[in-house]
Amino acid sequence: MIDKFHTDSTQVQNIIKGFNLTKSLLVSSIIIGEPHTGKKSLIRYLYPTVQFVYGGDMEAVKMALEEQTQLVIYDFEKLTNIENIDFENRRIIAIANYISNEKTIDSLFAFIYHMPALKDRVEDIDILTKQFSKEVTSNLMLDKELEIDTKLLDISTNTHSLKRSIYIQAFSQSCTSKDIEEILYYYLYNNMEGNNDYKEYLPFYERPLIEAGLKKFGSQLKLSDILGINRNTLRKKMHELNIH
Amino acid sequence: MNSTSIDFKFFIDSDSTPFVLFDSSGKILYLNNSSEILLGYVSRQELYDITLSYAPKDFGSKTTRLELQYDSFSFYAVGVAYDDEDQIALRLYHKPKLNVSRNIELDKLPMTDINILLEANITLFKLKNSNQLHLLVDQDLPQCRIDQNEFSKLLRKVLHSFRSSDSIDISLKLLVGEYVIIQNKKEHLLELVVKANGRYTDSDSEIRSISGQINISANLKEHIIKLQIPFVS
Repeated sequence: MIDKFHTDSTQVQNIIKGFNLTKSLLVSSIIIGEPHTGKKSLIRYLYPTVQFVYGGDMEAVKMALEEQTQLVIYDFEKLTNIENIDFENRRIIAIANYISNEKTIDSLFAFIYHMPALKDRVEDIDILTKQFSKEVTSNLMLDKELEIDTKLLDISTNTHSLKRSIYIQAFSQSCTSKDIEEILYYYLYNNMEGNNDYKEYLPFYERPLIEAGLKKFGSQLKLSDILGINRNTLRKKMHELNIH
Repeated sequence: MNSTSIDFKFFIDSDSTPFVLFDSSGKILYLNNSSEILLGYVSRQELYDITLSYAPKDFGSKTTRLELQYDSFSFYAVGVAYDDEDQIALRLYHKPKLNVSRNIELDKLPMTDINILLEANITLFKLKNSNQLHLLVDQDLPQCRIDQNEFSKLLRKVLHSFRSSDSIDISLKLLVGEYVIIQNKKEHLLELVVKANGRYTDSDSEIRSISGQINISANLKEHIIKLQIPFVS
């Protein structure tokens, strides 16, 4: 059970307000939005005791509708024959990643909400980042607090990519050279198959080495000293790897 | 039965049928409460002209079938009566407010705080629109039986039709003195009025259709939508 749904977005707060106002009413509502925008978590928070049923399973939906006067149908876009569903005097909450037939949705549902994507509610990125960081610190049993580089956060697929990018940062900050070797081993073992793989996979190591070194030491001259290689060799490598 | 001792004035005053008494020059000698309201929408002169046009040829009374529409008032007949040269009376007969042909299954409809439905719909409207809303509602309205889902759909479509107006006025009140008969029971009427400086008419047919399904009388005009809702308790 979710005891609080964190959001600073006015739009999401208004969606919550709308749902709260209709909580006691027998109306049908639908919330539509991109995957991983928090629709399901929001509905679970608002209706903790209501049964959830998967829209892709028509039989399960039919059965639930026979037994329940209130129901949450998730992945509603997967439900077929929606025109024949009887919503009268019931509290139906549908969750959909998209809608294919706007007219049917318009005639079926009294309340139609659109959950904004994370890119349209940037105020929530910070809240979610903190939430996921706390979670990852606990899950990975990290000794110190995670330092998040906001430039590396990825919201392209909403909370899915955001969470992933935070886990990657958490791992990057806590992993040992042995971990890196293991990851590389696993990756190479699964992917090596060509006839030029030495050349193909060497940049895996060389690129971060040179990029990190340049950022850390500022100049090619200094870096070539640090790396113990000739300046011309370094410049040649940079040219090959297209590093500027 | 001797009726001379009965004071009919009170009964005519409180009758929902507009009743106007003119003198021979068209000046109003008396009007009941209902016609007072009506005169907010039609001129005295127009009513007097109708009175003269439909007066019986000789002393007596005559009722003529005549479709008249003043704002939300619809009439289907007028009655004109006089028995001397000094006074002439006009009576306008209301069209039935609602066509309650469908049997409303009252028991199936849940008791509803209609203000909550309105507020929820306004919240939904505000999610997409930034129009200024002026709300005048009676927060003490008791609960009534209404099809919550269909009524919400209706409200959504009504508000949506005003989406491009800068400022929208919404009022919800109990109509005093107006009733509708449902299943032999006299029920009050609620009136929801939404008005602005303009509106889209693309959903008008849907608004009329949903209203009809849930026994609501919808009056749609260029700048205003009036819904008369049976207040079934």
